[in-house]
Amino acid sequence: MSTASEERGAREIFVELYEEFLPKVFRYIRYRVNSEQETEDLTSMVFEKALVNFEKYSRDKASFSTWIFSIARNTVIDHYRTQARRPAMSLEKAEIEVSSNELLPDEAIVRIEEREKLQTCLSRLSHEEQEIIALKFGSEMNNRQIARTMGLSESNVGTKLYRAVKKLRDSFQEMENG
Amino acid sequence: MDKERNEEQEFLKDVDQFLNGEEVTPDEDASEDARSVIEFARKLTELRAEPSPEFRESLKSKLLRKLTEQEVAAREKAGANWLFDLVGRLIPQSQVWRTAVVTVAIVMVATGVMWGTGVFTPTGGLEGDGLTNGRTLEETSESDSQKWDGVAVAGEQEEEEEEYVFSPPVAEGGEFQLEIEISSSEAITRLSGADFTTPYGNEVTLTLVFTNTGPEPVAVDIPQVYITGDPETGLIYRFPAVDGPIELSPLEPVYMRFVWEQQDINGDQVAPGAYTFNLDTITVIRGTDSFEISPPSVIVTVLEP
Repeated sequence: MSTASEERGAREIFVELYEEFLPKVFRYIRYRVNSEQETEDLTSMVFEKALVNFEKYSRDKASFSTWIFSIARNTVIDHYRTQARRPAMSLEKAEIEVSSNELLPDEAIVRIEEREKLQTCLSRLSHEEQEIIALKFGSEMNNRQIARTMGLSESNVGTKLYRAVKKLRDSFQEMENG
Repeated sequence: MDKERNEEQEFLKDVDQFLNGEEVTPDEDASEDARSVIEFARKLTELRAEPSPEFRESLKSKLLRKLTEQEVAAREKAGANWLFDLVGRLIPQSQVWRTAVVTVAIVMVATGVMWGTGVFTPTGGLEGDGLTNGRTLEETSESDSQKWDGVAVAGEQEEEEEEYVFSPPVAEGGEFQLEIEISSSEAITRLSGADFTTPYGNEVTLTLVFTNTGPEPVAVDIPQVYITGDPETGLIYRFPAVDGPIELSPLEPVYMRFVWEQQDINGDQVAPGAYTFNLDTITVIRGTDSFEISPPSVIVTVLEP
């Protein structure tokens, strides 16, 4: 039977990890799905699963980062299975979102539009390229962690990441130029 | 090939640097294409979405509630295991003794059941003798008299938590709980209870649970709790005031129980009817800032005897 102080300890540890990893998990998922609402729903699911299984987590076996992102990856995969579709930006939705932001300052509108374009371009990449970009820019993992998570070599991750960003840039520029 | 490899290495180094918040100076010798990829990667970083503060707070509260439920379930399970272990140790290992113990236990249970159903009651005996039940209730009440009476004691908190908080609803009502969750700038109040009606003469217990979900400690002025009847009778009972504010450390719940024995200020049993638990405004002090919470009132109906 755990003591109250041990429980408080577990609570504090969980809250610390939550504060540290929430933005990273959120950003990772945001790169992988289309909408803010889906991102919030899936992020909640990831942390609820982590909480339920927190007792089983062993620091000796894996870092918390590896552990939580394996939960996040599986949650996103399950989400796609349920949805049975590839992530693709709905043009209709993009138009609604942009038109509903008419009262925002110009800078904010430009940012929203750029984000929408980026999301569209991301959805044109392969799943592996999307994953590598999400793990790097969303989760802020180093290449060694990405390699371990994706079962690739570290140098392979570097090459794939570089090519994926180049591809994304080309697609983005093409879209901007009309 | 070497040039592309170098550009790739330079790109990876630069990306790691600006993801770490470090300044990146463009390489003069790099090709325009390589610099453009770095610039795009920077844009990719700047365009990242962030969770909204509302989402952050609400998910945190939800997870903390779930964590508390898990802790309580684990504690109950540990308690049940302890009981099974004890029973296991009491039963002897020998087959003959085991059979004998089980037989005696069955006979005792059967006798108890028959006694309870009145098989052994003599004709014209104690049926309807309210005194027996009445005394039992009174004794229970006396043994419970060590409970708090409107005073928060931090040292007793763990014990109180096990016994009274998140306990399953009681069938006859009379126990309810008001959770007050204080975050950085606001408070959420949640009222729960089995039933807000209670038998005549029963104790009515209000448990206040204060939890600070913000990162810093806060001080809370404990509200005065008082009970009112209908407008004509006005004040019925006032619980003793708690002196001074209490400090709430982050994520360390403080529990306060207010037990009302259905008595008015003169110590007389109140009549059946509706009674309202009123709580004064609660002031939360965080550093030099403060804000107020207006807790809800709770109406309890005392049933006819």
